[in-house]
Formats: sequence, C-alpha cells, structure tokens
Amino acid sequence: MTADLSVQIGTLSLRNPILTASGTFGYASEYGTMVDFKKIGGIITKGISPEPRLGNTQPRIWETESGLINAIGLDNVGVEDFEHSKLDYLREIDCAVVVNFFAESVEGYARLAGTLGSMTGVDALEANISCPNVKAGGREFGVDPVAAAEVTRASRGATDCPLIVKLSPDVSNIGDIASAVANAGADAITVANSVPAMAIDIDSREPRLSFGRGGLTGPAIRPIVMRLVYDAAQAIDIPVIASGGATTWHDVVEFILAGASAVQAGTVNFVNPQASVEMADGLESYCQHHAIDSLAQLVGAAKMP
Amino acid sequence: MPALSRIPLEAVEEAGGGCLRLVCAPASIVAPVPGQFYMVRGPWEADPLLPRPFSIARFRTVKGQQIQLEFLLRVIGRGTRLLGTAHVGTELDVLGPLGVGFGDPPGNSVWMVAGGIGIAPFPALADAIATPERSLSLLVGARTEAEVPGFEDFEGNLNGGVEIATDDGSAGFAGTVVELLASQLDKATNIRPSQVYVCGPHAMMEAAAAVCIGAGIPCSVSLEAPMGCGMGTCRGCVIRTHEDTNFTVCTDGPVTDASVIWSAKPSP
Repeated sequence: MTADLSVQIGTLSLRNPILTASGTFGYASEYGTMVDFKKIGGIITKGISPEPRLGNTQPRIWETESGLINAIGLDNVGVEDFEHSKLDYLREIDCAVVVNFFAESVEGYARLAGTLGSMTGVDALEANISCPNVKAGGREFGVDPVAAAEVTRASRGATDCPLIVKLSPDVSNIGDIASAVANAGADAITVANSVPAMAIDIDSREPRLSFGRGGLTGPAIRPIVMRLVYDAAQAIDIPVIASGGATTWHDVVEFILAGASAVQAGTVNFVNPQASVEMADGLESYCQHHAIDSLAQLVGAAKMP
Repeated sequence: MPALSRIPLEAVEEAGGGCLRLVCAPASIVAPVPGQFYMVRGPWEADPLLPRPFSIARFRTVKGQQIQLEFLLRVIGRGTRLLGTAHVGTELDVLGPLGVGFGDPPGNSVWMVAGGIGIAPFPALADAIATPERSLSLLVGARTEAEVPGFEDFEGNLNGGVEIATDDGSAGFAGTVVELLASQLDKATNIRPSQVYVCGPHAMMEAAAAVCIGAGIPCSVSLEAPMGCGMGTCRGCVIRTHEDTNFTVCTDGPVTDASVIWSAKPSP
C-alpha cells in the first residue's frame, strides 16, 4: 500500500511534502526538461518584488565546506514581468506553485500579497521576511516578533491565498517569532532562510562577496535548521516547512521527525536538479519499508528526552 | 537540451603548461556546440558541494553515435584538485551541454586569443570552423613559458600560426596576450581578422574586447564567472553590462559578442 504523503497548507493540498526552495529553482521553467513536476509537492519561485531588481554585483557566491555563501541580492524580474513572462509556464506544471515575495514596507507586503494572491495559477504565497543580502530585504521584519506579526497580518488581510511566512534563522527565540506569525494568520511557516555568514580573502583582505556579508546554505547548516524546526514546531500548531540543507531523503525524514510537515530542497538543486524527485521517491520507500500509512504519523515523532 | 549523465573518466593526461586533460568515456549523449559547457562533479559526498563548470575542449563521435567529451582543467582549488587526481573509471556527474556556444564566424581569418587555461574552448571551435579557405590563428598568453598550455589538441587546424606571449618574456612576445593582440593588429593592417574570439580571465577579456571594438573587428568572448548551477537558477554568475542590465553568464552566455558586455570605451 502506498502511504498518504499529502500535506495541507491552509486550503492548499500538496501531494507530498517536497518543495523546491525559493532562489534555487528559478521560475521552474529552467528545470522544466529535467524535473518531473508531478512527482513533487510543489515549487517555490524566486522571490518577487514590486519592481524588478538587478541584485548585487560580482562576486555573488562563495563555496565553503559543504555549503555555499551567497549574496545575490534578490535579483528578480519584478511582479509585472512575473505575471507576463513567467506565470503562463507555471500554470501548466503539475504541482503546486508557491510564489515567494518581499517588499520594503508593511504596506508593500500587503499590496504585493493582494496582487500575487489574485493571479490564476498561484496556489500559495511565501512571504520572505528574512533575506540577509540586501539593505532592505525584509530581514528587519523577520527578527522582531511584533514586526513579523504586522507583516503577516497585513499580508493575510490582503489575500485569501494560502500564506506561508519564511523566517530568519538569526533569532534568539524562533518559537516567539513563530507564535507571533501563527497568531497573525499565517497558514504555515518556513524555517528558515540562509544563515548570515562571511568569508574573507586573506591576501587582498577583501570579503569574498561584493556585498561583504552573505547567507550560508547547503548541508553545512542542516543541524542548525534541524534544531530551529524542532523548536518552532514545539511552539505552534500550524505546519512548519523545513528549509536548510536537506540533500537526501534521509534528511527529509529527519526534518519531518523534528516536526516539519514539509521540506524544501534548496542548494542541492544546483548539485543535482533531480534531487527533489529523488527525495520524494526515497520518502515513499521509507514509509513503505516502515509501514507508515500517513505522513502525519511521522511529523514530530522524534523521541526527544 | 541539457541532461545529467553519469560518465566514467577514461583518462587524465598532462596537457602542457600545468593543465590537465580529462577524457570521458564515450557516452550516449547529445553532441555539444563548441563554446558550450558542462557542470562536472565527482562522486564525493557533500564536500566539495557544487559541480564545476568546464568548457567543452574537444568532443568526437565514436562507435557511430556515442559522444566522447574532453575537458581541460587547471588545478586551482579543491574541486579541480579532486577531479585532476581522480582515478580512471571514476564516475563523473556531467550536466550539459549548457549555455550558448560559438556561432559561425564571418569571413576567413579567425584569431583565437587565449589567456592561459582560457585556451580550453578553442580546440573544439577550431574543429568546427576549420575549412581549407579559412585561416585560423592562435594567440596564447601565460605568465611564464612553463605555464603556456599545449596546443596539440588543435592538430592541423592552426594554419594561420601560433603566437605566444609571456608576462616575463621567457617565451615569445614579452607582455600580455592583449598587448600581443594589439601589436599584431598594428602589424596586420592589410590582413585584419574577420573575427576574434577571446577566452581568459575577465579583465583580460575586457581589455581584449576594448582593443577589438576600438579597431572595429567583430569580437566574441567566452565569459567566466563563479557558477552554482549552470542553468540560470542560482543567479551566482550574473554580471552587469555597460547598459546596466544583467547578463546571466550560464544561460545568456558564456559566449557572447563583446559589445553586449562592454562599450567601446574601456571602464576606468
């Protein structure tokens, strides 16, 4: 018997808990010939802003041990071009389409949530309140429970579309932020974004990235995010979506045991564009092997002391 | 259309100038266009994490329809060191062919200008564009004679000759390959190239492009930038053009007309 791997995010039903993380999967068409979309729960687009953004200058990425520091700077086509040049493709793919978005003010978040949420083909929104790589990238909203709640409430009020809020890992108490966002009306939270990081060239004494600082992603951050997912899941009743370093189906199972209801494949897409499909297949085999009927049996099932 | 293939390494050979030639076993894959590239990764776990981009140095059709790929590499970090010391038979993850390659050059006098390992895409280009009427020349620069990459991969294609430039003057022209290019253009007023191709470090390509644009000679460059994905999603390789637009090296390039990136006036 095949396990029921479906996940409910507000009114949105995902066929399985595997999503592709924002910023690692473009607008999906880039991987269209390589990924069998009907095998995964959904894709999450590059973060969309009210206006197009060029992002930072070179260098934008720097590889470290089992990880990648990036400071892309939210390079994106903007909401208008997104609707005109990206959405048609997304409407055709056979999995949920989650649009990541950000703005520079509470009103900006609300306006953009309203605009994107009303577009046919957009199944859910993910509000990014946690990008470390721009001067006004939303992170100031993501590190303060009051501000995080305000952005969430304003976005919630602007749309009926299922709303996910993507939190920063760079907080002293993830549970407080998670609770504030859940109480303000989010349907789910994503834990987390890239971990603020830095690298310096010892010969030139210049930072490895033009922006100076960046955000670390990849397997290097997985144990950090594992703890954040666990703590967040303890604090709230809405679904927690894990994002940070998942590379194989083993990692997916581990995140789910920690309390995640869904898991994003991120930097691993660069290593293997088919990683998300392999994760979904592996999770299904794991459930069969362990006689799991429904994903709910696994969520938060870690035996903590 | 790119594909992710697992291809055994057939040989690792010295290619001169401290460069290595990775020869893949023949595989059932589509043939690339010269100037396209592949993201290549060995069978290591999470470290190093990302595949590395390599221009296709040469490819040939064997056994009727299988394609054999060759890459040139210089060991510059852990990823290239692991690839350069990989054992024969090591299974490589090879994603590609990716990006935009070289087009057909106008005219019959083509100069290929290489800065060090920037020679990598030119043997395949020469294979593709060599005709009896067309003169193909190679200008190659390196810091010292010991670092000048070999050019046996061009076989008989360099009918227009080879000029070497070394920074220290230990071989050929004393100076940079861009200075050599400028000096050759000064000398060759009656045999101007119909097309110049440039590949090397970013600053070298910018300088070479300025020389060509200034002289009114068509110039294509094969750009290099740090890449995470090779497919346009990570946005790591995006550079800014002189018109303040973004150019995604992995999907808009790596090969492009130099005037797309740089204006006639070199940046200060």
